[in-house]
Amino acid sequence: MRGWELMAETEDLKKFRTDVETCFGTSCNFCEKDCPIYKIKKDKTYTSRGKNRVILGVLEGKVKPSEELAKLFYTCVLCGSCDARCAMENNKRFKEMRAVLVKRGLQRKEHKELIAAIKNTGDIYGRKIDLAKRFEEEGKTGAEGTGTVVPLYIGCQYKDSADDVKAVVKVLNACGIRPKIGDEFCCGFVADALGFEDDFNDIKKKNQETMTYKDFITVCPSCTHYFRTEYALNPKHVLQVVAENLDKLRWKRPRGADGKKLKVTYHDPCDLGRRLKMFDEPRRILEAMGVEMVEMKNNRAFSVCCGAGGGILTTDKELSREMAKNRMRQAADTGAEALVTCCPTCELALLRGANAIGRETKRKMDVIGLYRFMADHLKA
Amino acid sequence: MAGYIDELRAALGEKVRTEDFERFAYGTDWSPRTPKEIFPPDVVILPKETEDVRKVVEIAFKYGIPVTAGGGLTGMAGGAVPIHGGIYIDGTAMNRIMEVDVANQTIRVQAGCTMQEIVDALEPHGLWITNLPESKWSCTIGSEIACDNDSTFGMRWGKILNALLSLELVTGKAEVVEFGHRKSHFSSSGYKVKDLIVGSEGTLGVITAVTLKAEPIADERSVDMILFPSMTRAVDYLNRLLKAGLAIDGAHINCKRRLKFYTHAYKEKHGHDPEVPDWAEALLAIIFSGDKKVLDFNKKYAFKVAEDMGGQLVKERDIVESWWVSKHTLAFEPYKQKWPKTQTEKKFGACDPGVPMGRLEEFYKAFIATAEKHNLSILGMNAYLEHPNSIGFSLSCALFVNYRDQDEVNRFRLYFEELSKIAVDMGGTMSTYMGDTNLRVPYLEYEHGPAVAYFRELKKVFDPKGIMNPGKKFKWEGGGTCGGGN
Repeated sequence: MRGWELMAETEDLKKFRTDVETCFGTSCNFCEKDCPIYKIKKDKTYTSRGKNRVILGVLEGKVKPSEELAKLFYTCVLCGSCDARCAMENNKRFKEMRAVLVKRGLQRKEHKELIAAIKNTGDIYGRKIDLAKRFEEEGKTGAEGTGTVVPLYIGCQYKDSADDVKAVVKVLNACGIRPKIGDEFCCGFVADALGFEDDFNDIKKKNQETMTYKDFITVCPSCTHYFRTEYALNPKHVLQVVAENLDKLRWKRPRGADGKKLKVTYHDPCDLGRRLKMFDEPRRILEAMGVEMVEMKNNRAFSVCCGAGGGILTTDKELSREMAKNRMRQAADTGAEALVTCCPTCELALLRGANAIGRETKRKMDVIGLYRFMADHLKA
Repeated sequence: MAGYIDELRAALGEKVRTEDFERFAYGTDWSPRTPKEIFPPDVVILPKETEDVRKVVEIAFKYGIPVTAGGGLTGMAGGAVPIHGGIYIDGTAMNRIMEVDVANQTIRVQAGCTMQEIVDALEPHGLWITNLPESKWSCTIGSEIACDNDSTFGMRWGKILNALLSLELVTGKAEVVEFGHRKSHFSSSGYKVKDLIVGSEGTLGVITAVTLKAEPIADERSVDMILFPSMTRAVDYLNRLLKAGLAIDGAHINCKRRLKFYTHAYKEKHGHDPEVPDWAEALLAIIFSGDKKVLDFNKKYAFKVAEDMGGQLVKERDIVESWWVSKHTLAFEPYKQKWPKTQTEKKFGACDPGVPMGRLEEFYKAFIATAEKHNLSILGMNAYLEHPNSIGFSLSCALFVNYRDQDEVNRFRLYFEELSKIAVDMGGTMSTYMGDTNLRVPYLEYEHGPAVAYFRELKKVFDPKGIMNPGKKFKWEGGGTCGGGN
């Protein structure tokens, strides 16, 4: 050996040994295939196999934890693409590795500030928003309509997007549901994803104390995923509600530039698709609306991330944009006129990607949020 | 000595990686070894162009630093593991498709393209590259050539040499030289030096660009399995089909034990391994392609001959499909990929000898006896037909090895050596698709005798300082500061 500095404090990493050794023994490298970060960096350290080997190196005393090493684990969108090509839970391990780094004081400053803001305000952007007031009109629609009253959890990322919330309320009303909008505290997925375990537990506790309802509807894929897996709640996502009520809904058929059926491709958000397995609902809805669906090369469980997950936007915006561009290139290859998705993060990231590609190719593809798309084409 | 790293930084900037965590992932491949036997290089380079590689070798030559180049790092015998440290060149960022000449059916690519990337580039033109190992998603064409890998479709199109028209090499003297016959499909001019590079394991230089011959994609492809009472009968059957004039894309003869390794998807679906009748000792997987009418005729004819020769077609398609998923499509169900599920305690480890056709059964017995002698778990044997339109196979004699147990890994290496030598004793060869790597260095002369002296002279022509992938094929005579695994 070449005088590697031995690491004594590896107790908190020992839980990873069996899995990272299995990856070392396997070395199949299937994880590399669709990894959006590897596709750009072309550096094997950034694949799931590479990160597993780095953890093994730390366990073997050959790699020293450092701020630079921490950056490696934050340069991951936690999209779960590697998990779909594997039989191990790599994303869970990398998230836990972030928690180890946080406990060792190797967290990033901007992440620490972000988590503090969430705890202070209940909002990932540190805003204090009176939701009931902001969406007073939508609340009335819900309250004054006919049908079942169900709490609607909007989520931080939709709070500023009145068009989306209005669209959700309109579609739910058509399904016979009166959504009730009230105060809400961030689900805390960002804290968990960035490795702030203790802070996430605090947020969770706060929500468990204040959420007085069990049956509710969620708008954001990440919130839905977290309420189901971390809170043991069972909220229904809007798309599930719509898919269950398709027979009640009538649509104005979306038309393309040539007057024929609009040709669209659907981007599976990681939380909605890989994590919640909601692959069929959006496709059934789009088909019912009468569009022509074309699939991207990577779809469903093997979909490729929009490039904005896992906290990457706080650490490497340029890398995020390149990932979004790659996804939009796949979308363009389908010949579709528009890409439809159903996640606030994906929509924004892909819109940036579409703009960038548009500047390069002089042909810009529309990126459409499914909620607005549905509301715009709903027959009264 | 670290002066060379400063020079690399000055020449290549951000393409140079020196942090310990940035180097560690490059210290191992898929070969059976313990976690203690990971040998990270001292510096990793991520070149984009041939000129980057040339600069690296120029600096390495000046300082006498080892240079190991690699691709997907899925090698089965440590061929691209930088056992003497130094510089590791990760060629995978050199993945540009340079030209597809549809009329000539050729493609020019940078050597870091994966086999899948080449397939993807050819597909829109109705063409494909026929040399596709199971690792095609990450195995690069440079690595494929350097280790002379096997292919699923070798029975019709052979190994990579049959598709290789020309290659660009950065020699150990930092010279960039093209070897081959450009776009011509063959040549009688000059020496066939490109053939020498095939299987040279990076010991002569770094392959940076390649011209390959592509083939038209057939309208249809069929995959079937036929049971035979012995492996020899399966070989006789294939010979009979060749005599009849049938073109067979691929043929793989699995021993009964080996089949289970390939039918993971079947087991996931049915909860148990496929059932094979007691009388059947060999399972031949056979692949045809072509126009539907021709394909149907080929299959009908082949199945009739099989019946006449005591073979039995496998009717349960799930068995065949699961083998095909494992062997070629890799379309495992999400979250249920075979490799991590089957390698938690022990990993796949194989020896890859070649023996004369008539001694296959005898060698199979020697394989079992040698594995048992070293108290190793037997996974089974597979004969891959790799000679185009003729009988000629590479063997995969596979075990399950506990890679956490140094003693068991050492016993595997003894098994590897003994089985290699048995193959030579039978008039065969030690390796048919992995290469010699560092494992066969101590006994390379067992097969090649005085020819090894000529090998050394050849290496000196390309690599006078012996810095290119040192420790592979030959013991490294260099000193230096680098740690060693040889």
